[in-house]
Amino acid sequence: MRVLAVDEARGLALCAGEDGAHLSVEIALVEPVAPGDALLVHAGTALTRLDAAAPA
Amino acid sequence: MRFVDEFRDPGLGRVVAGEILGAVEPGRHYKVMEVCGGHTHSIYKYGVDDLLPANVELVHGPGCPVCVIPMGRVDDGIALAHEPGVIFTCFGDMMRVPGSEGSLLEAKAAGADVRMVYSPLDALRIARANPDRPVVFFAIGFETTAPSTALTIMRARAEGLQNFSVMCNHVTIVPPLRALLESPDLRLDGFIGPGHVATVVGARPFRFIPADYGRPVVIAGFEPLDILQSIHMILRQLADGRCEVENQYKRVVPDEGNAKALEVLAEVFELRPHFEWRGLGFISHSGLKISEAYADLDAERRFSVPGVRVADPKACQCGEVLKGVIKPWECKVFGTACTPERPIGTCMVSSEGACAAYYNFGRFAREREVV
Amino acid sequence: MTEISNREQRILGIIETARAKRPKFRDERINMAHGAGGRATQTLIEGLLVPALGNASLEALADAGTVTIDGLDLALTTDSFVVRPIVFPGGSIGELAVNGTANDLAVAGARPQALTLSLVLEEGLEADVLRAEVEAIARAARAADVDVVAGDTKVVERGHADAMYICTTGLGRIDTRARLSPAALRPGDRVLLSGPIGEHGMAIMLARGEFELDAEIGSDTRPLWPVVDALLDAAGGELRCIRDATRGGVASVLNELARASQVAMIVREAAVPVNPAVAGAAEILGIDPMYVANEGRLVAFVAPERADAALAAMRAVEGCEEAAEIGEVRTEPPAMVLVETAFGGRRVMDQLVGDPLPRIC
Repeated sequence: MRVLAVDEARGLALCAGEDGAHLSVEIALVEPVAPGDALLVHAGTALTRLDAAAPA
Repeated sequence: MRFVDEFRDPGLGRVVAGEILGAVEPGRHYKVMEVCGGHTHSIYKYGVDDLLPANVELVHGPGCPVCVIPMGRVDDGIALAHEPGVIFTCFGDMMRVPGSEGSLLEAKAAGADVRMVYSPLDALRIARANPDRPVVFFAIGFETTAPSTALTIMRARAEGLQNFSVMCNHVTIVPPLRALLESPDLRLDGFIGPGHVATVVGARPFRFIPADYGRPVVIAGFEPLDILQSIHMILRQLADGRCEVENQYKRVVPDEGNAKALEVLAEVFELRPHFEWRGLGFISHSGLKISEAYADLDAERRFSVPGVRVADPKACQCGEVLKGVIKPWECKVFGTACTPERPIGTCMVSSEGACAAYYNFGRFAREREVV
Repeated sequence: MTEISNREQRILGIIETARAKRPKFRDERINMAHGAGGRATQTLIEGLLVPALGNASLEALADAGTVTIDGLDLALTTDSFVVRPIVFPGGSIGELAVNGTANDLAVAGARPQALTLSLVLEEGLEADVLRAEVEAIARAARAADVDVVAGDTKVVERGHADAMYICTTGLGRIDTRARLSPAALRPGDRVLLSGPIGEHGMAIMLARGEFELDAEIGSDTRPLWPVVDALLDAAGGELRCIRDATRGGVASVLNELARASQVAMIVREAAVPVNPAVAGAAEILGIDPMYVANEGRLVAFVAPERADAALAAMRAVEGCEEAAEIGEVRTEPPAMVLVETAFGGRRVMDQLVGDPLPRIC
């Protein structure tokens, strides 16, 4: 999923899936993140960053 | 359907299927185990089996977190759900797992407040929205989801939430694999390694498989092409006489895993001396419990649970299915006494269970080439 | 060279025999799975209701019952709406009630003529909310060209009826062009779908706000008589059967028909239209859009020689521009629906068990 916005106070990021769905994601395991970053998200938590080259 | 991304591309699939045919030794039969229930689901959902020669047999492994929960723990969950005022939250699949007197879905029908959530964060939201009711989250999963639970527990502590607790049924992947490899029942040629567990623990924990047992492991992604490529890589290792851990899912899995996740796990959880696995018996140091530091968020300490060990029904052969010793359809009650709507065991309930996957997706006569 | 395990074949045969038997209703209590439109619902209907109430019309298990009075073939249907929340992106409970009932008639080959409306209202319901629903019902009735000819209202105490429940009946005369029946399905028949799937169920799911998930999805509720009319025109007696794919989704409808007519079906996954927003949200939630409820889509079975004309006729109807041919009817394996996956493999598409999306219609 791609990061759209980061809520640093709450430690969450608003992310978008490839098809436009928006999800609020826990980012403690991958921070710091910035808008545009691609993350692997599992059950609401980001587990790792994806390569710049990889699809979101 | 949706735009087909390259890892679902049928043309590329046929190419790799061709490479697999080229890597197979004529007349030899290969047994490759996919450890992770997510892989089992993907294999059946995309019909990956259809693209393999009959010489390559996929054996389903124990990596299904719902499937390995023994009946006694389900009963404990139901007991918690019936505690006065409790809002009991769990993942959807857990709701239909049979305990000794029915499932959580049936407990809900009898009046317990049981709610399905998609992540532990959803359970935390429910706790915030209902401050005067105890909220319990029934946590399941391997190392992929345990960090998520750990972070949620840390959040609850940071926010000073008094009404939230977790019943922890998290398990780790290495002990059951070792138990499988030690078992004389099974002769496997290689392993398709769990891609999402590996994002947390990295590739290193799987080195014992080639080192101590001489079997190749390829850590694989979950798209159908990932799975085919990983099978090809295993066959190539066998053909070349190599035996090592390879990472097919490099675009996602860092070889060293996620240090922060491991840190968080170490802070919130500790290993139980042993934990009972459905069908596999007691395995030492395979289950997680909440550490002393977070004891107030441990549902098993806040409430008292029966903690009774319940034997599986005699007819249930989930254990043999989970070990890959028998195929789902070889279980004596498969499809007759045990169906998705009336399950006897867990393998038929979970979307990652081998029996559910075969019943729901694979239950038709297929013809495959023999090389 | 091919290798099929005889033992596996035999076991599959035993399973199919067990599945073909009339189900017995043995549950001790009703649970949410009974409302999902899948196996549990089927067991409730075939194991409890049909044996007690049975007659030829009921046993056909179609969306509407047929009643012949003085030589006139009428379609009669009933429906209830318990959706939560009552207002959602793309519509509201009132609109669903009119369209849902009218569509049950339409897929029986009957132009919807009259509805009755029974409102069960919760104490404390705001008058403005009720007014808005009554207006929605009136608008939808005009758009569907039906009259609401009778009604009833009841009020129940706060805490029941979740704002409101709506129960309906619908009446229409079966069109003389229609020769619809599951028994009419023949191997070789083509399966047509009138538009993208999964929108209604996903819209409701997201409107509940229970998950930190958001997407641009609205209910697809619409009257289907215009597209049924177009199909009857284009294919006449070669239109075998139509069903609207409500709760349980397209997968459930295909399975019900495969079982009722003992044919097999194969669906080409790549041909099924799904909007990207629906596919994305469904993937995140781990739900298959084929099982998600629709409120404005139908599946039609047409003889192969009329399939192209039927598809063209569908596409000319507003709202059905993305209609597609998604599969065909075969003989083997009987009563089963197979999917040719986008990846090139095959799998079974079985009936739904459990309920991923409760209270969506």
